[in-house]
Amino acid sequence: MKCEDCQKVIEEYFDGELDEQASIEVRAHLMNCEECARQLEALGDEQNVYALYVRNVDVSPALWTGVVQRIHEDGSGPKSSLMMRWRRQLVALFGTPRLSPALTFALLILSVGATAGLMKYINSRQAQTQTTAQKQPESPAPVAPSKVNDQPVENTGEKEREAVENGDEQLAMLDDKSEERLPPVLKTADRFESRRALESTTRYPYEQTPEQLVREAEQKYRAAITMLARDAKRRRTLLEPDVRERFEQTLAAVDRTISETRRAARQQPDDPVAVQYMLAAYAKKVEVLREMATYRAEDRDIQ
Amino acid sequence: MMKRLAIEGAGLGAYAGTLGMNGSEELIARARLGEDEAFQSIFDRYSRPILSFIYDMTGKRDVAEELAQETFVRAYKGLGSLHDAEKLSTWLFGIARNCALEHLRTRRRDAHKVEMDDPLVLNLSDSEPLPEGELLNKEFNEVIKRALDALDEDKRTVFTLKVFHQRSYEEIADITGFSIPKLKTDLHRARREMRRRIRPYLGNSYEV
Repeated sequence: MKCEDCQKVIEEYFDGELDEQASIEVRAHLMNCEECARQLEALGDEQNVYALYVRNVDVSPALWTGVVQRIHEDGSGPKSSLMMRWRRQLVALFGTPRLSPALTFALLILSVGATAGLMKYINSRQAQTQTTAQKQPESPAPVAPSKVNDQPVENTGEKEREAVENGDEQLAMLDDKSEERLPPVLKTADRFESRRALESTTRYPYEQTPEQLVREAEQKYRAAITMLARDAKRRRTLLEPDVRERFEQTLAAVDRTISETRRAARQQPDDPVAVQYMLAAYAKKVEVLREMATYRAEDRDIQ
Repeated sequence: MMKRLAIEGAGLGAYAGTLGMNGSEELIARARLGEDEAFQSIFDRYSRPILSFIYDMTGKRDVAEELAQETFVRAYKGLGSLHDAEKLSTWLFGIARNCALEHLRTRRRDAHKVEMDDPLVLNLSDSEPLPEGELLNKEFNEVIKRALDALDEDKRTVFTLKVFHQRSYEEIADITGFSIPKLKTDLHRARREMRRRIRPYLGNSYEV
């Protein structure tokens, strides 16, 4: 090794960042080169000088007090403790974690109700977009949506259901090919179908079994997730790589939770807490996708 | 009872289940469940290096304290997005860096305001004589501080993380999002600039 080669990497060597082979070569060179050895020694002296630097700061008790105060003022905890908070609230509300079948209905209706609100919001937003989009093309002749949609709706819906069943929702939603599987006309059909299901659920909840209600609540969440995933996918390319990675890691974790809670809910379909965990996991995914779809650079630390 | 535990395990499996239960992993899992004591332990462990790092970045004590507080508030809210317990430290430093950069950008916009309220600066301009050793220490600290202030933000970040906080290149890349070649270049140049500015304290062993 020559001096100029050694000097190029001597800081990395000093920092312990060189690989084994390069380190051996540098060490061998330093044994025979006084000049390079002096440079290495100087780097060590320099580090010792920096170690004497004393900052005019210290952690005061007020710092922690301030953190606690701000957390409590904001009234928000770690986002992932959502399920635990729900459970605590439920237990506090009803006095026992073992809930009655009647309460199961009530909980499910609450879930479906919340979903309904979300769906209405999303549908109205997308309907506006759809209306605007439909006004633009002039030449193509209008075609009845039901005729156009019949085949793609069935195929795509089936594939999406399979992806969800496999606990692979995020990949299914965000995969580049998924957009191809979801032609624009499908959105309309999806919405009509969702609205019909929604209306029937919200009008006559007591005519259905708990299992049916759970399935429908799941379907609503999945439909919401599908729509939001499209928005999130469009935003995805605009996100900074590290932010995108964080979102995707979060989504992957949420998908794992969905998968696990679904399994638990399937094994104990009569247990409202298990069901509530599962629905909370879906809600979490909706929340993350919404954050992703509306993400702004100023939020980057909170994500 | 077992059934209940199984459900709870399923509900939290994506987090606690994959983390194991020791050290930072346990603290994070407990903090996520809303245990203030666990988050306080994280604070106790990392508040000093985080505060020092922000002080190195901003050069002002009151600002450093405020931004350290902001860092931990953001960390608390964002714990759910941390999936690798081993990266807790780099994650916190990343948040701290962002807080510091946001402040510096704001300060640049208010650049016309001359800030002379740093106690260290005030003490230095005080006419009261100080013992020789204390004066030397204060001078030395001030020289380092000013040398750091003179670095651009990228170089200051990389230099501080490497020299004062002994972070590996990979960790610095995680914290900053810089590529390894960029941070190596920044670190090399930062060392050279700092060397030039603190030369009187380096003796004769180094050619600047």
